[in-house]
Amino acid sequence: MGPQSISTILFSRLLQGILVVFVVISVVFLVSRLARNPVEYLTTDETTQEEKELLKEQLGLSGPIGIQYVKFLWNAVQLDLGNSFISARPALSEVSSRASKTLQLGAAALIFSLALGVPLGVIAALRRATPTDWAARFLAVLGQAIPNFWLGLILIFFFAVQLDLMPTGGSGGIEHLVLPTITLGLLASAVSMRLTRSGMIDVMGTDFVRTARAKGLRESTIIWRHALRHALLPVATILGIQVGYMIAGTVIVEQVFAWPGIGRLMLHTILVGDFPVMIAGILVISTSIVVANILVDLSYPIIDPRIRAGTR
Amino acid sequence: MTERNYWQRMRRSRMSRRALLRASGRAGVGAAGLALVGCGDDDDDDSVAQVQQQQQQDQPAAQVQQEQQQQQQAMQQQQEQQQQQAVAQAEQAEQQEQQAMQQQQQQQEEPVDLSREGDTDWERTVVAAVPNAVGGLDVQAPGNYTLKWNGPLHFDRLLQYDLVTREIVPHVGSFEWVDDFTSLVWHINPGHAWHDGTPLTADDVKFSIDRAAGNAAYNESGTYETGIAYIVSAVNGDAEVIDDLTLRLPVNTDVTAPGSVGTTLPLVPKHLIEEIGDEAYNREGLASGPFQLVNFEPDIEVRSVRNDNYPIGYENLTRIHRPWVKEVVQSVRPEPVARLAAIQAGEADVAPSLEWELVQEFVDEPGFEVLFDPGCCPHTIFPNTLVPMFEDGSNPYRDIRVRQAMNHAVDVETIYTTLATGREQRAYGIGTRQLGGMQPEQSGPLTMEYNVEKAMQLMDAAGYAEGFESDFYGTAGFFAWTDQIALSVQQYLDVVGIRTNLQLDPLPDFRARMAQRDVPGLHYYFTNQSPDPFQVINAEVAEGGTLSVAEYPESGIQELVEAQRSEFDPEKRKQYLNELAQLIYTNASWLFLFETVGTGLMTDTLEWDMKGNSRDYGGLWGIRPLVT
Repeated sequence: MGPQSISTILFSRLLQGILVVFVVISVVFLVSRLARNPVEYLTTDETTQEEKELLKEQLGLSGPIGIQYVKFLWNAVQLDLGNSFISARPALSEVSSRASKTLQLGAAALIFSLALGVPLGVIAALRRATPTDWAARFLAVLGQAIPNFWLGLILIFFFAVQLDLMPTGGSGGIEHLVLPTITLGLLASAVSMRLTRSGMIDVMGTDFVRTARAKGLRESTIIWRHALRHALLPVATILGIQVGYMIAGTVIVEQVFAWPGIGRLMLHTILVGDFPVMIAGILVISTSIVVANILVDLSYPIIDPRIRAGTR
Repeated sequence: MTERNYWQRMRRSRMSRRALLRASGRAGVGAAGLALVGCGDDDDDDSVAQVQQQQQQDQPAAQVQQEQQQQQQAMQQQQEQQQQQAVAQAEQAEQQEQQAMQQQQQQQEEPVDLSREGDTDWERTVVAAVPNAVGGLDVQAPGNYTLKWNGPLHFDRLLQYDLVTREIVPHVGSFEWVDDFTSLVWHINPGHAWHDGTPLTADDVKFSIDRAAGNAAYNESGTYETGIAYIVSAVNGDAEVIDDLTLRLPVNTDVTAPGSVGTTLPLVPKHLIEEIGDEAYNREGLASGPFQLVNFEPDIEVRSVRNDNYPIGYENLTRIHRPWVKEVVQSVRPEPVARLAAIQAGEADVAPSLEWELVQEFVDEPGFEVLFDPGCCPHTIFPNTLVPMFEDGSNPYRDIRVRQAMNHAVDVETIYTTLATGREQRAYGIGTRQLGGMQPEQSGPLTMEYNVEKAMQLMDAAGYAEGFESDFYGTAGFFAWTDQIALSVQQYLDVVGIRTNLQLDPLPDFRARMAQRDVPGLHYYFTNQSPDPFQVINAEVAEGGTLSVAEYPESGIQELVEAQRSEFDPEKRKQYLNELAQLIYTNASWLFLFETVGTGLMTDTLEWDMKGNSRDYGGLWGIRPLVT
């Protein structure tokens, strides 16, 4: 079978993505309807059963769940996920108003993780079995072992309370982004570092690196231009998965640092049963993960020309 | 005009033992009264009289008769032994009461302090770290938690409660009864205006009532805060605007508490809502209160400035008045540790809600003041008596001896001294002591103290020497420690043979189950702290109440519920409510735990004196920034 064209890959991944998103929001719809009654959150101790029933009807929660599901799907394909039970605003608007904040934090954390993890992985690989390598590996283990929640609080304590260098939380200037970025990105940087290190160790022993050296190329050119490119392939693969982890991580990090993104919104909507916003949030998150994975797939031929040529 | 209060007088006027007996007799609970008057707090007394009464409901006639004879004999012996002790305790209670009265009089006689303008920093912005700020700005829309907290900050009501006397006092308006108590005439005080400058009129009040009741003509399908709609159900017919500042409001004759409308209905501006509609108003939130909202970013901050035109000034510091703080920013910090860090780092000045574990190290820390707010939300466990528990149709909780055994089985004081701040007080009835529960001088002699031996005797007498199994439902995460308290109670009950299967759920799920009223077992919930206890009574005490699972038809409780509902004389209603509080306790209607003490933290550059009331987000108007 010959190599697939970019457009074929894109089309196939898009179809898969749409199917994934459909399944995810369908499951969320059904599970949420069965698990939580938001009317209880919206009413008080004195609210009678009749009033609760009325409210349920007004919120579109009465009637057989199958009919509710069909109505939901019909509206969803028109991108109408209903209004928030809490704010009465369109659910998608609620989520999209927070999306930029989460995107900001996620992008910063991703850049941080790559900026820290990849060079550290390269250095560790080049100085294999030296104190530098051990230190880098120790840091990687530490980064993977420390829970986000605890790390965030420790960073607040040292950098905000003790040293007064950073704000304790909130959003605004770039300074508000520093601690949440480190908290969210440290785990990902540890993973990137380990993958880069092992990839580099493999690549540095290959024939084409020896050939490059024999051609008289400078060592830095060999490392950063030729070898790293090959070593990054597993990092790129894991990147798609890490986007998902990071979005999940924002729930905790945004809570600790009072960062007003989707993560915190999702946490709140799940607690109170604000179904429309919850489903809109899941829709945005699952779509983001699907898009990230498609982008990763599309990046393979760019990173490794052999894929484009169909030799791998 | 009637502006009298039930609770303050209840504290002032000592109820003699004779009065208690008379009151109990009038309510058809002479046995309870006899037990109360004749016996002390070594706890045999309350059980005997109540057992006599309750057995008549629960057991076959022959068995009842036999047990009655045994109990009468026991009662005679116990009365002789305990009478002297009871008299001594009553005298002690009188002395305590006199001391309390003296303290209260001294407090009330303190002159109003208007001489501290020089100490006050009038230009200060105060930042409060708050856990949440979501939803919209329509105070009458459901689920707007931000505004539930901030209600008194931005939105006015017709009446308010005096912080010290707990009297219902005029605020935006005052009222008088007319037409044989079938209508209220409201007089709107001149000078109140919306923050856009438009005068607040009787038409706004009518609009607010109609809207909350869900019958606003411009939007019949509107969804409004159902709790408010419930309150407004007291209204019987259309409100009539007599002139700009006068409104006539027909009310149901069985709802006498003026607070049911006046103290709980937030006023909203007719002119703006009719112009822009519900949805847009949910983003505007125009109000008339002591602070004017200037910025609301969901989940980030609520920023408000002092309403310098607020007509209620600093003449009386025990009521909602013009704030001292120039600007108040409620900055969202969902994580309690992050709220604490914000204060430590100087980013926030006050965090009204922080767990005791976090703030206890600041008790003696210079620069900080730990806030202790007693008297919130008594913890109570409701046994379901409505449905059978076992296949033979029996339900052990219908037997007063089992309920008394539960109360004797749990060491309440040890629970709150180890799990909570240690400043808590035992819970006794329909609300906190401040708000309608029994006062110490009344409740002391009645207290069902921790006594395992006695609890086991009661279980034995009730025919449950081997104990029984029961479901036990509680909430997780609503108040601090509720899960641990539930576990402790489970262990205590297990000792006397009540073996429970504990299930903890989020509050909405828990409440939905309790509201079904047909789930047998124990339900660990709370009574609220509304200044007037009518909400607790209607929801949790009255037969058929939305959360009423523990009903005792022969106890006389329902008669007192109805008597206080239709009593227009505040003194008499006060007395009915007092009797009701006692009867609920002496009937061992619930398992009574303790009243929550809320804690928080602020810097010592602020003064926040709410006269012993909870310092919550709605009370930020009471903060006085000090010149430093």
